[in-house]
Amino acid sequence: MEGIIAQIFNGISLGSILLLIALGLAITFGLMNVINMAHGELIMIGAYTTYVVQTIFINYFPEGLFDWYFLFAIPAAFILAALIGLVMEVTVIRFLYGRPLDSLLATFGISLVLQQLARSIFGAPNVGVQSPELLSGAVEIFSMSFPISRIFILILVALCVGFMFYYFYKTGNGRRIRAVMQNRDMAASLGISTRKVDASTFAIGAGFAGVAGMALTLIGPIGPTLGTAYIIDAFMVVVVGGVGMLLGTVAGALGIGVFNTIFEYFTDASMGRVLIFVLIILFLQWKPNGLFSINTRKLD
Amino acid sequence: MLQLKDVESGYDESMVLRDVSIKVKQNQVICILGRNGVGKSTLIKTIMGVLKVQGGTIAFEDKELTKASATIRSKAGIGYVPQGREIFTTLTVYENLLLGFESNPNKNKEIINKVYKYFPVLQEMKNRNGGDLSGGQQQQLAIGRALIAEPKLLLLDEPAEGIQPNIVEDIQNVILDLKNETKTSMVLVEQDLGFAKAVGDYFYVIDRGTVVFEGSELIDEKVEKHLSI
Repeated sequence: MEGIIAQIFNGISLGSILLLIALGLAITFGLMNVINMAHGELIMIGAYTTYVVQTIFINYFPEGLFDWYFLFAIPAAFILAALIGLVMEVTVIRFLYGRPLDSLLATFGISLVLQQLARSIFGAPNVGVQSPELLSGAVEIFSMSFPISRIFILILVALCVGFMFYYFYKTGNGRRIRAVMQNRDMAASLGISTRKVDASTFAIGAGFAGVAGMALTLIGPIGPTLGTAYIIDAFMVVVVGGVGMLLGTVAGALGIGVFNTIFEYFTDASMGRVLIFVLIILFLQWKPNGLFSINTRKLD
Repeated sequence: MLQLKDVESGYDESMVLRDVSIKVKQNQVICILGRNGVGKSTLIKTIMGVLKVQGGTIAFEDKELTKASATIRSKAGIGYVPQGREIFTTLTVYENLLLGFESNPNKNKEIINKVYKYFPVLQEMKNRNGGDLSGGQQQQLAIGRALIAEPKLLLLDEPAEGIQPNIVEDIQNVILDLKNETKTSMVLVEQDLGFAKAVGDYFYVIDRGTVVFEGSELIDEKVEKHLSI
């Protein structure tokens, strides 16, 4: 019984990490159809931002305040990644809408540039971010221990998803974004500035990648190639969930997380990985549009 | 208030419209007539800015808008009810209506009630997705959405096409009401000659991408060969 609960927790925890790294991509790829190969590097930027915020706290703030650096790191990572995303959109991406192959190549190029930039600034070796005291250790429930950092990531993901749902479905900006993504010409004919919506939407997607990077510093060391390790997973989650569907991304991430953990439990890490890919390939044969797809009355 | 001079327009390489000149005055209803495929929708899309002008000029209220985007033209006061409604199927009816406010500096929600009065079904369905509506209801939504913007000039592209007769009547009544009660100018693409004659102040007949007849009255002998199938 305890083993099962532990596995379920591990599965959900892995799912929450997958979801966090895929959230930004659910916007840039899922909603805007931009194959953004630099998504991983936006995650990396968030991670390094956290590292920088931590270093500032170590050097300039009294020791007692150190634990709170991560509260500043979250908005800092979001804003910096969003700004770099905005620059990407304005200088490159906007010329490539509707040209998936070109945007794939261009964003891959951007990812290499960003990696090299990180190497030049921070050096090639990995750097470690010290987890705050508050988030290290574990809580014991019924003689099972759950790492606090994992629980923190779970809560962070829940907050991010909640915020995204609110933003996309309850605010005027969200309404404009959904309108533009569904029918660009008609949205423009109603007076919506599609340029502004494109740029800000891409920046928001990039910002969420930054938050994911912040969370990854709690799990392990960070380096210039941090993003490449996660980019495949992120695309996998969005495709399985159904392109364009936020809810699908949530379900896809948790599903992959849980199945991955189960497979690894019965086999080993690499075999589990193989099995999850087999499962996804089979699943996409059955449902090519992913878990959720847009179904509405088609007229004329 | 709207003036097109020698406008040329089309899709990519193929030119659909040639040398089209049209004038719309304040509070005037212009009817565009013509057979299928002669460029009526292309003309409407060119006025809205969905299609780029390849030659000639477009001016609206003495402002040059030839190169302006649809966003800017919408904000200048041009409203658009496209052929095939083009409502946002994954947004709710209410959200679709709210998008009408984007180009209206007056954000007073009272206007929505006016639209509900014209089309009560929109109020009943306000929380449903736009895609759940029938074709006629979607057309009502598309018109309602355009009215919320309170446009100075309203472009209507075959608003009665493929819709059950009782809703066609509702829509025609709304158009008549707009003509009689407000200062809105309209450019109406219409297949129903009877209704066109009833509501139109001035007529343009288009054939093969260019204006072949214009006048404040439709003279049957002159337009027949361009309209009959």
